[in-house]
Amino acid sequence: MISSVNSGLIKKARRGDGRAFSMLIENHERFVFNVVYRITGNAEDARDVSQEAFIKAFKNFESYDERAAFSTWLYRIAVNTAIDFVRRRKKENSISFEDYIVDENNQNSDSGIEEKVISKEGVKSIISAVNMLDDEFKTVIVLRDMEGMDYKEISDITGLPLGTVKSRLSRARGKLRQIIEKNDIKSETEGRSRA
Amino acid sequence: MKCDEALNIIDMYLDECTDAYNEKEFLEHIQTCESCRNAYNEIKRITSELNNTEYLPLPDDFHSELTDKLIKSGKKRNKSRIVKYSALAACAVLVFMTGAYMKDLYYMASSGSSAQSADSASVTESMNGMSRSASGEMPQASYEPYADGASLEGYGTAESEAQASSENSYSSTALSAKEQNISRKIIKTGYISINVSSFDEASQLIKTYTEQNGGYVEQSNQFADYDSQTNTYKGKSGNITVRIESAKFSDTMGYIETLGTLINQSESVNDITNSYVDTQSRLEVKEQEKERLSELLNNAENISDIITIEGRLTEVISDIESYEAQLNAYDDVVDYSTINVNITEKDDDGIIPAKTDFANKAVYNFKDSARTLFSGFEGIVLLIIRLWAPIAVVAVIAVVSVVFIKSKKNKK
Repeated sequence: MISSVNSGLIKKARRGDGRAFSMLIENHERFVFNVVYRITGNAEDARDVSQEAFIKAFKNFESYDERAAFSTWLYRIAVNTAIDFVRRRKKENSISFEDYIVDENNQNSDSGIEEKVISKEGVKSIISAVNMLDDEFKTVIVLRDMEGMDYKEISDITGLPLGTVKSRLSRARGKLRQIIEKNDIKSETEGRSRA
Repeated sequence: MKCDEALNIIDMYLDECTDAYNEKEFLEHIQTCESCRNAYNEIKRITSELNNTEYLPLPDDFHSELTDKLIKSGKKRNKSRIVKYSALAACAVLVFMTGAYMKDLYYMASSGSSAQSADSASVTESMNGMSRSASGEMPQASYEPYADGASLEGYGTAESEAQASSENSYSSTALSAKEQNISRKIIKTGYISINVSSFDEASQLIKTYTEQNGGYVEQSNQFADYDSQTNTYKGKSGNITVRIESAKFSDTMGYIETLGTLINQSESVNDITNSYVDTQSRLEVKEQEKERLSELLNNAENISDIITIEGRLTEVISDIESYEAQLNAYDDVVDYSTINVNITEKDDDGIIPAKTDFANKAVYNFKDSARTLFSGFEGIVLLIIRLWAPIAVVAVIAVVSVVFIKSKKNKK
């Protein structure tokens, strides 16, 4: 729900006032940007995709029901846009995105921010593993374990039933564990062969 | 607790969603089972690491860039909204115009003059049908005695048989005409009485309007009114009889009404379809009788026969002319409606002057437009009723398509 302070902005935004909508979303920009970043795995893409999500939300603002939480509505659009982007990219690009993250040589020169985040070796391997998950699993992991949302919020954003959210999260964590274990074994083997 | 159950509960435990009993069982299990303990510790480590990942700051120009994009998008949206609404308005106007046009067509098909040729065709067709059946039914044997040089008594028999046959064919014609759903023949007559400030101006406007719309003034008269007590001149009054195409009857009534203060108005409709069909059928029968009499006359051999046949032929020809005149009169009154206008000139303050100024023209046009709109709406409703079956099929196809597309999207 939106506070009465913002009701004037809502009216203006509904009439097509971009500046009013911009003021309305200002507090959500960083969160949306980060959720999208965690799903896409790349800061440059996150910038474009999150902006695309905001514009999409603005264009469809007439469909927003003020009785529902504005943030949930906005995050749902952001998550869907990010998932669509990742799927599109996978189709277009035969090189998997996971390789992009894991392989440091391929890293963008602008990805200093990412380096900060994945500075620790352990965190880096976990992030890489998250990026190797299927979109459906990655989304619930991002929302629950990285953004700290509860099951109900995740259910609202993804449109999945509560039970499905729980089971999907459990399976996602299981898969994540398997990937990390595999990567650890692989890196150990590589280390030995180098030695 | 078994390992499977414990592994399933790890997430719930980490998310603090387990009940006290399950929690106790779970904790006891992982203390004894190394494998489950490792799994629990690993998932806990992962979620904890993920939870501690740093939040990225927004890129420097993110907000300003986004605001610019939103403003541009808003402008585009407003433009496209204007275009959309304009297109919708245009479509609505088009639909109403089509509706009005369809209504006119519908109206003309049922009573208008332009559809007369089609109506005549259907009547003629039924007549031809009758002619064929009549000629087929005409007993050749009845004529044979004459062909063989039979006496006049034979003619009398033949004539009565021919008449009997004619009666049969007449009744069958009338029936078939009705069965074939001949378009209605409707006579419209209107009466309107108005008070005006200038008789000459109002009558001139009526004449001009009538002529511009393909009609004519059939009759007009005017009188000078005097006060009987004071013998002072009060103004002119008079009557105009206007003949106008039936399709323009309502418009003309509407126009005349705006020329002054309306005192009285009435409209009457007379359906003469049955009389018209009857007359047409009688004419057809008489024409056949005329042909047969002409044939008999050619074959007649004595004077008395010739005189008798000629006498009958004259009667039949007279009847034919009478029926033709009647049909022409019917066609005339059906094609052209009659409006009797009574105009009285009055200088009283309460009388609205002849409405020739812009404001009154605007009022007239407004009313006319509203009438057209209503007429259009009526036309659309009639059209929908007429096309209900294809509309229903299209609607079903549309619903099925939407459901199919949605289910496909959901699968994706």
